[in-house]
Amino acid sequence: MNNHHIEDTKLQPDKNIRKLINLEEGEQVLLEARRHMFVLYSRITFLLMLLIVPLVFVPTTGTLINKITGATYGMQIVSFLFILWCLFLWVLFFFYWTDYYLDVWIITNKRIFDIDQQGIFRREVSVTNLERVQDVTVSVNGIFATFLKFGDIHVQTAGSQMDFSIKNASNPMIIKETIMRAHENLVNLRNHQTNTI
Amino acid sequence: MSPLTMFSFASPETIPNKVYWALFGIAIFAWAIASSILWFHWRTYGSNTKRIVRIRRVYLVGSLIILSIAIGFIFLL
Repeated sequence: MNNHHIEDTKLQPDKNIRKLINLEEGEQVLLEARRHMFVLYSRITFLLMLLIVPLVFVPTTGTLINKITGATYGMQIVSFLFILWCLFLWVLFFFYWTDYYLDVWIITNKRIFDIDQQGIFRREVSVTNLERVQDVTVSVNGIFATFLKFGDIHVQTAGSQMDFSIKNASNPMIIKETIMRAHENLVNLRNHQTNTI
Repeated sequence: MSPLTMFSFASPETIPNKVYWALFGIAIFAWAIASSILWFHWRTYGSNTKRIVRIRRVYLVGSLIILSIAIGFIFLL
């Protein structure tokens, strides 16, 4: 199985993705799965609101300060604070992006890596062998999820209490298919090796 | 006299540039801390993938533009 099966270019692994994980000998990265961009867009919308709403109040607040203090600098100080506010929002956007980008599933022909970045200072990395995969469940809930093709994926593994799931993953059906196919290939390979011995 | 005009900087005419520089100083200090946290994550966990390199450039250019606007604003006052 190779990357030609993956039609969605967003799911194709970055050439440098192997720097994120330590691959075994003969292990190939098949797919790199992230949450759908919708998750990031909804945060960007929130940031845009935080940008636009104060912008509306800059002239009003400036005038108000002038009236209260009897000064003429109200507009200046409010405008300056607004520039600093823009800097804050700019930095915040990159925190959101980093949280989005570093939260990733990497599916290889042998294992699944679940790198769970929760905020900035909490990170969990779980690895499971594809042979241990028993069941893959996909759930797509809601109108946005249906039309934008994203949903939750849950992987059940044998003898493990570990929860392997990714919420709001982009193209969950392709991810499920890739996992199942890689699992099949690996099991067939193991059976073939056992029969030859 | 309103309560705000009791402060020396709050004269009706203007605010001294020192106040703007102080605010700018606080902002740049916070920006430096936030940037170092982002840098650490991009370097350690992002491992300089193509996207990380691209996003780092965008972040730097954008930040420098906003900081330049802030500095320009103070000088123009």
